[in-house]
Amino acid sequence: MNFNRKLCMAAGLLAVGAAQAQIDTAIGGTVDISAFNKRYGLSSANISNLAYVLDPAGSGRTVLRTTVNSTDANVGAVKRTDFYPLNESRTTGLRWYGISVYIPSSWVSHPNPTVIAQIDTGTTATNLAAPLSLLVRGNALELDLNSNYLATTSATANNSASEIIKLGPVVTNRWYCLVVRSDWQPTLGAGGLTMWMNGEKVYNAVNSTNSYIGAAHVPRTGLMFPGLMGVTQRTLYTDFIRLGGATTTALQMYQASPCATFVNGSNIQW
Amino acid sequence: MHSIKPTAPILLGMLLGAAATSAVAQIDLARSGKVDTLSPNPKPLTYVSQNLSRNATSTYRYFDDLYVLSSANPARLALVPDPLGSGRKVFRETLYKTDPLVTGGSRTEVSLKYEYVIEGVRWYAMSVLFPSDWIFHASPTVVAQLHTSQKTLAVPPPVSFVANGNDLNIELHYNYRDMNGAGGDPATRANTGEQLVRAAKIQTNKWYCFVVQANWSYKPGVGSLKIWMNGNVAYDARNAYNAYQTWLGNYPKVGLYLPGTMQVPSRTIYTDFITVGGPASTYEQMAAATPCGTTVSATPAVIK
Repeated sequence: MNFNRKLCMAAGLLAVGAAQAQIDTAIGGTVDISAFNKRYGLSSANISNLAYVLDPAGSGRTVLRTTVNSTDANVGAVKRTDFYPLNESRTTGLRWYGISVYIPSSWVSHPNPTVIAQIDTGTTATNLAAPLSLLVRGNALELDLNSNYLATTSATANNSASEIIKLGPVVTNRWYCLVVRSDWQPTLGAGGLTMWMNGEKVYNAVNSTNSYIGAAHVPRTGLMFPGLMGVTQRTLYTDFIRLGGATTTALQMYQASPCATFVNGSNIQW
Repeated sequence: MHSIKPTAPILLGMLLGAAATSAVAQIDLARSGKVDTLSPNPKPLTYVSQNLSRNATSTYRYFDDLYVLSSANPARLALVPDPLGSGRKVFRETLYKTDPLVTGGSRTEVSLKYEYVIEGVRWYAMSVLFPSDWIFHASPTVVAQLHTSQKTLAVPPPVSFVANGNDLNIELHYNYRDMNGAGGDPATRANTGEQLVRAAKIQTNKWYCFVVQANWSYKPGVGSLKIWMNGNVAYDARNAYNAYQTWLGNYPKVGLYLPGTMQVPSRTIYTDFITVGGPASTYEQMAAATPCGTTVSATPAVIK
């Protein structure tokens, strides 16, 4: 075995190890602006709709500001400025996600929904809704879950299972830190999903289908409008996306989030 | 002209027909709704159909014509004025840690006497009020349920509203598998689906009014469940099974049930009467029957 081959094998093992480990250091996470394109993909009509800025809550950390103008061109048939980690496409099994958003006080309430975080799929039939979406509708935060145990040839948006869970009124100028522990399973009666918002367990499901057959799950955050925007401009602050392997804990995910200042081991609901 | 004198079978058929009609009607007064007294009806009737017919039209209603109490002591249930001063009567359920267990649990619960639905659309309205002396404790208190008539396997209710610490949660359970232990993959407690959905942070001296539109089904890809709390949609599921292969059917309960060992010395809660409605009911009709009425409250905060 030559040196190069050994090096490749070692690198491969490290990559596998990182994917199973706690907070994933190889995918997503905080990156300098110069390395953003190596870690993340951006879906936006204009690259200037994404900016590196200081945390508007004053922590001093660097976060991202996403903007969409009603005059922006569509991207993939919708208006959006959102980003996703490259090389992340978990199909089944355990994965942790940490996505944090900050809705500024300039946010104008409108009944048309704005998706601000998603765990979407890359390989399913078209027109199937994302397995998990966090969105703002009117003045309320909402989680939408979608799944289908049917074969990809039979699964449609109309016969997919859908759930809507209300998370209460939107409070502006506040970080919302969503931590998700998913055991993705499209099989009937299988799968698990736990979601914490700012340390509080707002949803837990066991033995419940939560995905689609063949779906590769990709987290996204930023702004995405499934229909008409309804407003002339939207701005949202987000943290970088965190990913974790099977042995990650909610506390580890929160320690990496902007909510680390007020969510800790003593107030996370288990 | 000949007059036809109804015979007993014809009369029974007419009564059963009336009962069947009321089950699919809008607000089902034959099986649910307010009572005026906890005293037993001095004129008990023998047959269910007779009771249903009388309930549907009676203006003075007796508890034992509509409800069943599960409690160690009948004195644990009282009919009292709404503590918020609306003037309507409501139930007050009390439970002490020293009370003997009832069917294996600490409970003072009220359920409807004649209400069971196996599959299809049914509406429910149930309301609870946590008094100001409610002790917030990190042990669950089930305050309302849509339970299932069990077959051979004991399973948790399809829908329950649970106070746990400061949280009010909606808990859901379901299983598409055979409930009689038949086949290679029968239903078990371990393979039963479960969900917890946060509904609110509990405030005392406030009515929490739940309206539920259930399209009951244990069949994969079939069924829906929509739950409103104080005028706001709290949960909405479609194309998703939400129940079990039940025996008699699903039925509502309100009151106090504390699973496991009771962790507080006593509990008291106020609950409204249970209202059920047929498929043609509307949200507005069901909400109007609750202490909250059709007024929409502010969207509840579910996190601190």
